[in-house]
Amino acid sequence: MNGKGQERIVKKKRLEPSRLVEEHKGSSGPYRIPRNQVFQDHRKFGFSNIMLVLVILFLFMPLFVVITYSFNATRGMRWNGFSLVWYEKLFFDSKELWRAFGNSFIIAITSSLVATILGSLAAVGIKWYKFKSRAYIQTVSFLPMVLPEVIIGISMLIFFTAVRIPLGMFTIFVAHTTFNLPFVFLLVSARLDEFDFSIIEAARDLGATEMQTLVKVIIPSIMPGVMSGMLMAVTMSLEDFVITFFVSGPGSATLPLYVYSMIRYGVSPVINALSLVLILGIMLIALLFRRFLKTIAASS
Amino acid sequence: MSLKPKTKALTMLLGAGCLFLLAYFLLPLLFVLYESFLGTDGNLTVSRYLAVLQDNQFQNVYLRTLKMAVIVTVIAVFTAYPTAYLMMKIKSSHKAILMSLVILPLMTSPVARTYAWIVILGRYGIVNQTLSLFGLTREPVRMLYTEGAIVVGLLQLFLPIMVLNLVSALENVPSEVEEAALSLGSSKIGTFFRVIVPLSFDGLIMGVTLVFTGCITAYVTPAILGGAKVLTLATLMRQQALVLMNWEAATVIAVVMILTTLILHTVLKRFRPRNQT
Repeated sequence: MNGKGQERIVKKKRLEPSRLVEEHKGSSGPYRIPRNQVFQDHRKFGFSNIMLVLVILFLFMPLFVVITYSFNATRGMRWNGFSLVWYEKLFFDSKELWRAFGNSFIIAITSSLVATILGSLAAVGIKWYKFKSRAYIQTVSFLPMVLPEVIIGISMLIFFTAVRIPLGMFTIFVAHTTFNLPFVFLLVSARLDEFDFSIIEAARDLGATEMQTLVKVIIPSIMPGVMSGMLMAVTMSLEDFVITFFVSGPGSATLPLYVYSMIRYGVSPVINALSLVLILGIMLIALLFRRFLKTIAASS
Repeated sequence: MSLKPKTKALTMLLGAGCLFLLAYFLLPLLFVLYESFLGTDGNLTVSRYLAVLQDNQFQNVYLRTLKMAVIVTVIAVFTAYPTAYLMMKIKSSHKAILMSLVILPLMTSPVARTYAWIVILGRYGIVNQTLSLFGLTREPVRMLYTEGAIVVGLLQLFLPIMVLNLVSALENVPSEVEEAALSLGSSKIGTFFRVIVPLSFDGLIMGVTLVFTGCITAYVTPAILGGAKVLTLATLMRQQALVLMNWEAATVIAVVMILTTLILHTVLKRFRPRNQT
């Protein structure tokens, strides 16, 4: 084995053209092709460059248009000067919209709380206890993430109608909890995978009961996973349209549903203004979220 | 590490999540499946399937949905590949900015993103205003409620996903391989197609799967940009269920949709390289 390896090395060495080494002495490594030779056409307007610019433009054009027109002084597409009139209308003259936002908020908080509690406990349970149906449970819990939203929405709608649960806030809450649960479960499970289980053994050795171990050892250490799961659940719940659309009843419109119904009556500059507010809100949440995760990671 | 369940209350709590999913997720799904096979006299038949599958409107809508998904996926692949490739090449500081530019649209709500296209493509939208300003058209061109509008909307929705998938796939392609191919005399285009594409094929298939199934099951975009004029599978299903109160057809369409995505997943999985599963 040793001899073979040596032979290979010798062969390789022989194959290396010393000429190449000579030529590229100036570059970073002996066998590297000079950087400008590989990357030369990225400095000019190559095909890839044009594509990149086009893709970014295409992705941002709608956003840009909406934001621009939210500052337009009049309704319609003609530019009539800068004004904040639509923002004024959005914040002080859109009762219905704010009620829908209230609904969204209630649903997001309640469903993410329940999903976080149930999902975290299930993750701990799956890790902690060994039982036969474990693999099935894991597969089933991933289904809501993989299945198309329309399918989940329509099957819930048909089911709720069949068992006569009136559509409304409760059904939306149930639906949101269902699609939030797997995400919390996944994030907490990921956190538990890094968990050093000898700590639990230590806790038990030192006389902690099962409950005490859970509350004092396991829960604090999975907290980052739990919190990120909950924040994710809140944002997903706030943003969800499709599933909510199917399981909502009269008077239970959430913000995305309300926006959708407004769109159907035509373009409204108030929605332009709202879009920007929402984008900024989501960016703020994402930023806070990152900072929050950093502080948690630093403290634990 | 495992313990036997000792505390009854604890076990019950752990089971609560499973029960919740069982009651509100699995049960409705099975219910829909069962309903779709239910005959008029209560026995199990495939008559509902036959009725739906032989329906002319359903066939048209199904083919249209597939066609649009193919168009969106093809355009997405051809635009995302050069984009992702270039994003790999760029200095890391610029790359971070570009990545967040690609991710930002993903974070904004689909309703808001689709709404923007009404502003652009509408009867009195920007495109029509511009066209009439230059005197190119007398009357506003109808762009909303067409297949083209849906394709554009879907593309905007799913392009970031394709780009992100390809970027992560290309990150696994060592740059030395490309340099080796180039130094051995392969042309740039040859290197791209014969070295880079095969090595990032896994990510490509992943992206294609996500975009294609996403297009088939998308609801918001076809509902807003297609309306009742250009139905897709998802909007047809909703129309059958909520407008026409034809639950039978809706359950069948739901099952057909699940089957279509499942078949796509398995077929596309076959293209994935064997050693990287």
